[in-house]
Amino acid sequence: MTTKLETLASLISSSSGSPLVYAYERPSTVKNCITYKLISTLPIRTQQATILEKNRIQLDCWGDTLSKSRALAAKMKTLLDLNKTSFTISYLIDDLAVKDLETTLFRSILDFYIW
Amino acid sequence: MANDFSNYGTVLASVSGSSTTTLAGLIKLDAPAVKNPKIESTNHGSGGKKTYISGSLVEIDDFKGTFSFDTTTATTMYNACTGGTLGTYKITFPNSQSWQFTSLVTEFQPEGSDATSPELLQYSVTFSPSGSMVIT
Repeated sequence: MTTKLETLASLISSSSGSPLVYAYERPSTVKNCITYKLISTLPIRTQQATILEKNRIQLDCWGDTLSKSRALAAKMKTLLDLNKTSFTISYLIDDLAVKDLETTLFRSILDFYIW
Repeated sequence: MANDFSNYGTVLASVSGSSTTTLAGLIKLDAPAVKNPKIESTNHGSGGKKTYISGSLVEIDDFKGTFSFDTTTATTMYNACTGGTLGTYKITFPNSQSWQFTSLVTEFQPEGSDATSPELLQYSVTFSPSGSMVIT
């Protein structure tokens, strides 16, 4: 799974506009960035072996305005929804936007399954 | 614990002479039911109760295996289905007991694809055993 997360981070940082990307935690000084975390792992098995892992990944697209947060989210959807090049497949399963009361930043939350 | 096993690790193989080839990608196996149907033997002397005797005609039900779409095994199963010839197969359960039997493959079906919720590409095969089962 480490490799898959590393692939994800590398893919995001090298995508259009080179978004800043961090695992789990956002540096307090950085406002417009993406954080990612592993939510769950579901093994897909045959009777002989585990052949794939279906990982649920959450991306938080942070912005000091709602439009910046949504623009980052849109980029990530283009990059990762139905991506069969970097992974077996990755696809979007949820998309919501909230205002984080603690940081006062806007946060678009995207959930993906990545195989 | 020695006599308790999980149902993970069941192997389905095709057998040709002394050669056994595991059918790769088996996900789910609905193991066959072995049946010896009863025959009603109720008569005027049964005292108002239904009675039965064994039909002595053992049969092995059709059963289904679901596989990950491994191209090699899928082609083998497709050919077995369209060829219509009896093959020899062996199920080895995790307790090491093996059931060997001859069977037709009477159905080969790729599972449906649903873009709203992608899943592993799979196919299913229906086996129709013929004759006896050898348990070792």
